[in-house]
Amino acid sequence: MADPRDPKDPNHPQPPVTPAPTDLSQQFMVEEEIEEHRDKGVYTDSSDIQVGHGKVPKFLKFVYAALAFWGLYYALAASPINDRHEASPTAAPTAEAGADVFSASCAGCHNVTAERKIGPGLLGVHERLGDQGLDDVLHKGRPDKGMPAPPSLNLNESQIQSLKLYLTSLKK
Amino acid sequence: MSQRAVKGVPTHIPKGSTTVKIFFYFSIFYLLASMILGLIVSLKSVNPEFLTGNRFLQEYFTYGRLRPTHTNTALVGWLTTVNFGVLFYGVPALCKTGLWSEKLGLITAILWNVNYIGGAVSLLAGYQTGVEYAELPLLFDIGVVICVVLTFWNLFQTTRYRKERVLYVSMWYWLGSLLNLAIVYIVGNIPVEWIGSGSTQMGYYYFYLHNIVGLWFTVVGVGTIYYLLPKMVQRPIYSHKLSLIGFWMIIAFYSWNGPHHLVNGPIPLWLMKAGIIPSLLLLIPVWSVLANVIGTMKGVWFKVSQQIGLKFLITGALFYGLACIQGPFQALMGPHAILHFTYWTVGHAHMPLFGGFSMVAFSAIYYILPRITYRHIYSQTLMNLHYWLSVLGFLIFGFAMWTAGIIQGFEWMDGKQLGSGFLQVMESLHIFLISRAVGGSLMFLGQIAFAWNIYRSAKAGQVVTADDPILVSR
Repeated sequence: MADPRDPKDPNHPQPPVTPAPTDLSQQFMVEEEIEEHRDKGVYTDSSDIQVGHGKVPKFLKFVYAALAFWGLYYALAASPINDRHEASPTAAPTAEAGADVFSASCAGCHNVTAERKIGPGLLGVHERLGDQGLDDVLHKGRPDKGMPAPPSLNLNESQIQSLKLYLTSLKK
Repeated sequence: MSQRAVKGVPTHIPKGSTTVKIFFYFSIFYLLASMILGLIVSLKSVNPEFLTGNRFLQEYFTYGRLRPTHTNTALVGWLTTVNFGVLFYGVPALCKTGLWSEKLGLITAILWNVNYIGGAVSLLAGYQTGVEYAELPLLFDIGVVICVVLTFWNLFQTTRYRKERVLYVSMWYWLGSLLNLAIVYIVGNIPVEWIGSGSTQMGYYYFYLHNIVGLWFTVVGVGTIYYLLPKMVQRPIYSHKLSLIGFWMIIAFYSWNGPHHLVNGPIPLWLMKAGIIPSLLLLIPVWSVLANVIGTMKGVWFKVSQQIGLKFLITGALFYGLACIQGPFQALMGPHAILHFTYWTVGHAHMPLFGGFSMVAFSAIYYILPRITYRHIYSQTLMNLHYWLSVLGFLIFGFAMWTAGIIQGFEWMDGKQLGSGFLQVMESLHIFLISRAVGGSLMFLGQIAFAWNIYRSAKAGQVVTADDPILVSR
């Protein structure tokens, strides 16, 4: 019993042949695609390879012109983006954003409870330090006790304000 | 030799074919070596404990030694070597003459390989300049430049004594690309003591880093596309004018592209703009070349399904086009601020080099090898396997890196660029690193199929007969 899937079987259905070339393939270029040329012929021959005189497509001409205009505009009008933060609009400071910043940058040393970790626990920190005191620590750190200044950890002003809102919300 | 014994095959073997063979065979060795190194690096980023079992591994199999050897073996080892092979075959073929000096060709080929293998060993031993893509120490840089000059001289003399008056498009691209390579390589490898450090140094080095791709691999690869396409589809090239626009615009705009790597960095605004605007204007040469490819293919697209070599070539052209849409977009200040320093770059760098011009080079090897060994390619099935594993592997690799890069960029922007947030992002990207290793493994399997196929072709491929069409068309 012959296996119906055996490709060597003469009765095996042959895979369909690739469809015959279309009419277009018999004709290299239609009239309107060909440019007038000095050599009168359609192609020049070099190294046994023929090169046609097809026109530059309209779409490409449009692209060339658009890019030229854009280039001029950009050369005159563009201004720099200073860092990653300015590439996206910065949101107004919120306590929620501050919680994220806390877990990313502070939670290594501080608990949100009263319990000490590497640094002191931060429950009720706003009452302890006062508004000005908290602000100072958030900008300058505590160099004498080994706490780095948050700006040196790449936190921007908006993130620091969010952090302050979050810490203020930690009340006893 | 066995070729002379072949019945019906002309005893006159085109001059220069031994040089071409040396370049091709060594390039395939470098390809495999480079991919193994890349795979080890990707596995190490999935599991950092991988290959750290003893002192020797800890010293020699670190990221800092493997990664530069991977990139250099891919760029200088594989792609440059294979392109030299294509040039040593293609330039005499288009000039309808033999290579000017076979002896000089052989000397170049041997010197080139000795030089690069020495360079790769020194990279693994830790002797590096520390500049990305240009890690080779000065001694080996000088060797590279000497070989490029010897190659250029040999091919220039071949062109001078040619038997064909008109120079075909590929000839402009090919000879131009060699000049570019010499200039770019010299500028990129000037020792730091001579040019000063800081952003000036980076200005020099990014000129090299971008243009080794833009002015060498692209230019030589587009020349190869122009050479192979009309041969494979038996059609004239669509438009002479488009090929002129493409060639001169590539030369005019590509050399400006270095500073777009330093956008948003410590360089003047005018320099950023001088890098960004030409990056966008690159769409002109790229789309002109692609329009020419599409114009030539019009009505004969069905041939892609019949010839695997053509499938490689068209896929290469397609990935080249896609890479050059991605590139200009990345160069703009906004996207750059998000995507710079992320995994996205890794995906982008592999697209023109592997997806684009390696595909073109595979196509060239499959086309040229039967014409210099007088043996047909051993297995079409293996060719097809090579194609699909390479393409699928690359797509998995590429999309994993692009997605990971976008996530990374936006998360960092959200303030997760350090501390535990950074660790969270890193952990969440682990799955993409695994996908990269899977894609990379597929790519590597494809290249094993390729190397085995080429080995079998050279040993046991079907011998061409006297009436074979490949004997008529070089």
